[in-house]
Amino acid sequence: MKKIETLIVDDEKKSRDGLVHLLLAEKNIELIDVCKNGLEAIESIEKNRPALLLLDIQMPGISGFDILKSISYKPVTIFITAYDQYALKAFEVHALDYLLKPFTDTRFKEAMTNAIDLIRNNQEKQSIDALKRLIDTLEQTTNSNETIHSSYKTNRLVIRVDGRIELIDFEKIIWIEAYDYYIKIHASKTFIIKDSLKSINQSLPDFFLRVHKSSIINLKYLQNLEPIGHSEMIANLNGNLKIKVSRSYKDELMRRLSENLSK
Amino acid sequence: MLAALIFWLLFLSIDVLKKNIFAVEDTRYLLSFYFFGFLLWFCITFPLFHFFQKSQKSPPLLRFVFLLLIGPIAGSVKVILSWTSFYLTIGLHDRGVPLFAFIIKQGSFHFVEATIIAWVVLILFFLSELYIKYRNKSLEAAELESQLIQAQLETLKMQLHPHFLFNAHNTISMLIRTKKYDQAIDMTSSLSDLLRATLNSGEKHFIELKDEIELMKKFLDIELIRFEDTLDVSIKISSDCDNALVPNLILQPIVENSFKHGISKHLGKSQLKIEAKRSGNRLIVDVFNTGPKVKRNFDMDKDQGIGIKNINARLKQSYQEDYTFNLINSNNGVICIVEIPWSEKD
Repeated sequence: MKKIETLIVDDEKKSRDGLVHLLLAEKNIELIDVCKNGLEAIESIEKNRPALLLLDIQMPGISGFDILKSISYKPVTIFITAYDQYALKAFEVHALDYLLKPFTDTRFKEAMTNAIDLIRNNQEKQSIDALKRLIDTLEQTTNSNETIHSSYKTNRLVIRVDGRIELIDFEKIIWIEAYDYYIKIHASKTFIIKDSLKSINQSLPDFFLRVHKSSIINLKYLQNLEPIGHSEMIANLNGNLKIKVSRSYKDELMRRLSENLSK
Repeated sequence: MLAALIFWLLFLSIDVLKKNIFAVEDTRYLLSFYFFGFLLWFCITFPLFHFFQKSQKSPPLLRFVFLLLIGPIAGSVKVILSWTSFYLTIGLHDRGVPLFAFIIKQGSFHFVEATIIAWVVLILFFLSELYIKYRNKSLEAAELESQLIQAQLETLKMQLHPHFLFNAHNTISMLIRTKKYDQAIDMTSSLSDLLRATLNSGEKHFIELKDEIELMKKFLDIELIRFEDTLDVSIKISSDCDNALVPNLILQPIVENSFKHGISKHLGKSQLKIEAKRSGNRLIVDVFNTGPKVKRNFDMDKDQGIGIKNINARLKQSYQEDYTFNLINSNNGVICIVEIPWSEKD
């Protein structure tokens, strides 16, 4: 019989090690990935499409619920939590299985057996439907649009939009615009999030450059520059975008361009 | 002031009984002298109280002399005013009796009496001042006491907080599962150490910085075992600060906030830095954590977070206005800065 592909998400190393240890003892389980934060989890779940997910709820930056809201594919999920009355109530209402930390081996095996039976008997659909209902009822506790503060090395920008986590490739961001207390990130879509150009600039790779007090551009999309007097210029980006370059940022732009040319 | 008013009511009733006022039939005497005199006393109480309060700032001996003098002055004013009015209403000026001579003649006994009454009133003021002072002192002591207990309670709560305690237990059980027995034992004893240290944190309002840090380390030890691969903790206390006195358990809510609002929301590697140094006669303690910045419109005084409120209340109680407590954004996180007057255990 085909083994059930399983994925672990937990932010604490010792807890992950313990879960791996427990899963290796399960004959019907094939462990396909172990993720240490929400970001890894979102990418891995979309890519590996596990049948079963062991998911820690409380994690920094991106919680277990954030992960579920953000993935299009939903596996059978066993939640792991230390204590969260609100969540526990929701699990009970939707008859979803969860493990309370610390749990016994017996309790773990019981949860695994239940999950395996569901999947083996092709009943996972009702469990996944329950999961979807749970996600819908979870109020958007963290529905503010914001940048997920991250020093995590990645080639993507991690933002929260309407409760979902969006990963935007830096390469795909054309420019970023200040918008009162918000910023507009122009990529294939436009995202409005609560942040400042100054602070987002710190998490951008070096092919981004501030050219105006209200704009940052991706140099990879820069086609040409035209002077418009008063030492100011217009930067033409792909797709007929015209962005003003102000005097105070012009020198830095010129320096960067000549650097690139000499390379 | 209230005491003085009650005194006058009492005085009036005793005086009315003593002099058997109801038997006096001369209504002119009753109206112009007796009741007018009493009204005068009543009115004089206010300036008397004003001067009494003003004198609070002077040194005790000077104040005593001042109050001693103000008695006869108040007495004289009263006597002169009341006899003058008596003189006028009785119509003595028509009979050619000189005012000055009349007052001196009538006055000498009354001067002494009035002076003594003024002193009694002043003594009454003084007694009520003592009482208020005593009440404030005990209120203050009770306040300090309750804040310390509050801090202890918060510290215990933090340690008994389900996320902390159950996660720590979970870590221990996972260590046992993976046969890392030594680490499991270490963690169990760290957990006990921490609880013990909090329970023993005692009744002292101020403790030495090194003891405060010691307790904090026990808490951080556990977080470090849990997040060995993502959490970095550094503590730099310059050696001359070891014996500096700080309010007992003042660091705990600060560090708790660092975890709650910073590190627990930060994806990837996190840092917690505690630094303390002396600057002249000030002690400066900084706690830095990686994580989201404080909001642009953040106002410390309006913040409703229980942690920040408690810290502010305790610092105010301990140092009045002579302290600063700030949260500022820095690079990729937030620094909490506390500056308090330097004091050392002798």
